[in-house]
Amino acid sequence: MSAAAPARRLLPRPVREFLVALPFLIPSLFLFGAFVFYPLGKSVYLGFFISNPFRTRQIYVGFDQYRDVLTSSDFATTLVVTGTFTLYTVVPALAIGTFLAIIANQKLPGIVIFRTIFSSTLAASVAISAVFWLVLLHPSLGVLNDGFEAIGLPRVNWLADGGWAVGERATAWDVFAAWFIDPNWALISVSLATVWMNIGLFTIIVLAGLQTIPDELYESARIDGAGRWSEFWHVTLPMLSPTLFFASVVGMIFAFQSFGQIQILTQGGPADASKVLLFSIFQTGFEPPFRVGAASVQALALFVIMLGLTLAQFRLIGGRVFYR
Amino acid sequence: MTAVAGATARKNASRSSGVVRRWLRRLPAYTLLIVCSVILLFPLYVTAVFSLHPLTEFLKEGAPSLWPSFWQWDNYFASGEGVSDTPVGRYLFNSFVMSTVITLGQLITATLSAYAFAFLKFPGRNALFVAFLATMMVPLEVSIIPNFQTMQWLDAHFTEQAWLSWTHIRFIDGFPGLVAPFLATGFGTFLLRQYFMTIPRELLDAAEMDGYGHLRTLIHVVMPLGKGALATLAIFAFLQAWNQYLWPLLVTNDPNMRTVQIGIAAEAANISRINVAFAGTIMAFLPMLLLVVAFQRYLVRGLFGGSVKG
Repeated sequence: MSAAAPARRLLPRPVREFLVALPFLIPSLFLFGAFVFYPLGKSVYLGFFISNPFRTRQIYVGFDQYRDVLTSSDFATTLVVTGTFTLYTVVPALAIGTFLAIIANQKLPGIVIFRTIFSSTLAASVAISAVFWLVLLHPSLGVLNDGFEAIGLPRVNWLADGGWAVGERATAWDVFAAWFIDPNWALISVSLATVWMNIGLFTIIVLAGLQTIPDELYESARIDGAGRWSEFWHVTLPMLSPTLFFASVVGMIFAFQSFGQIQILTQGGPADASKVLLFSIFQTGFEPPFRVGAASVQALALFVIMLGLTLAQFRLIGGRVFYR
Repeated sequence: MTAVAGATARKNASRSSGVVRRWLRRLPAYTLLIVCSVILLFPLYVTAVFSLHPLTEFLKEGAPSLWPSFWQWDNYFASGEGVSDTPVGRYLFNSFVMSTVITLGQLITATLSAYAFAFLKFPGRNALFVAFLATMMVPLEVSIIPNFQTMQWLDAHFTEQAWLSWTHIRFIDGFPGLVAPFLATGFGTFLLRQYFMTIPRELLDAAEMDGYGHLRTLIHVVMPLGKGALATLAIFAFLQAWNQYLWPLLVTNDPNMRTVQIGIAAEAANISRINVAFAGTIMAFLPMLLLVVAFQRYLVRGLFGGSVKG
């Protein structure tokens, strides 16, 4: 017994317990305070000010900056591009990932090899998959155009053709029509690299989901004379829907966090055709004229979107974790 | 005798023809699997081939050949022009140091806090746990501006003030700045706590009876039992740290402090060394590929917050 023990007894029990737990929590609490919670408050504060490029003078503008940024046409364009990018990345990656998971879920010798190959793109970073796709899409080195030519398709100006996202269009209908006739190849290029990178993760998630479907369901479906296709529609897909929903939320979170592949492949161009929200935050805040306040407002908008998505993800994961 | 031998031979023949038939039936499935694998790995294949081309292959008209005409391993190893001598070697080293420090940091902070949340009773425990979970809703991407300003501020203090400058700690163009925002993790705390909760209470009581303090219990009882969860966290932390792009781009300007992700992106924009950039890309990818392949079951477990026994 140390001499300090009786002195500690003098403190009320909750306080004592708290003092015991504190050293365990202090490192994390300090770091979270400094790099997570304080920055959120600081962003709100920065949003109230406009400053000159060298941050030597700040002018208080209150909520005006919030209103100006969030109602600007630039912000609207960025949201349209971000939404399209989310659609372009989540839906194909989910479809391909599900397909690969299903064919890798067969009972065959050596199937593990294919499972490993299909999930391997998970290891690629945004920069690495951007370079992998640069060799396919590059204006002079790109091999995909040669392949297109060989099968009689026209060459595509992958990284530099903004399609519908470039230039003025009179009505929303014109934009919608152009969406199909005049593809935004720059955004598609960035999406291709992203989809490829996400396929691995989605395959893993769907494989795990498939393994929770009881074999009896398939057996009884077979007894009822179901073919492969109706087995897929009536057993696999309904049983898989929570997993697919979870995967699509993860995919959306990834889409909103995308930055590197865009910076490497298109730099947000041409003419903002591939400028997603995070890229816009980067450009506004870290490139001249360093509009830190305006960038903070956009960052808060991103935060609100991410908050909604993460809450959805928590509900889904929570269902899995606490089910048992 | 001959009749028996004949019967056996016939039986063998029918068995082997059964095997042939079985493999024939599997053929379409394997064909599909192989075709999908080839398509999926095509971008990786092309980059790998390009990483073995001499530079002249990229300067001629048209796309480079899809088969290494001249296996220029020098792109990886030669002195003077290979990966090991261009800054790419330095980038790999930087990424390794950064990812190792982040992984160790997360293991330490998350183990400590997960221990408190799993085994200690204290006022405000639930509220604090919710606060830890809440950090997962604030990805670094939304707070890059204030965090960058914090780094500038710290860097200025450490370089300008005499009582700090002797430490030579740099938050811009230095490892402290690269790792600082990532040393704590809400996800890791949650993951470890979930696992620690499954450890039988009696073991901890026994440790207490033996006079173990909390720190000793943590190191000698809880951590050995939680090895699987710790490995899961370590792999996630290392993979994420190694693959980061945005934050290292912001806090490094000096080419010597670039991480490999920023480095290969910069090198790939430079046609005069593009084959070495591709070699660097392959070298940045391979360690993570091995990590993912070797520890896949830990990754699966982590993806579902520890709820799936992979």
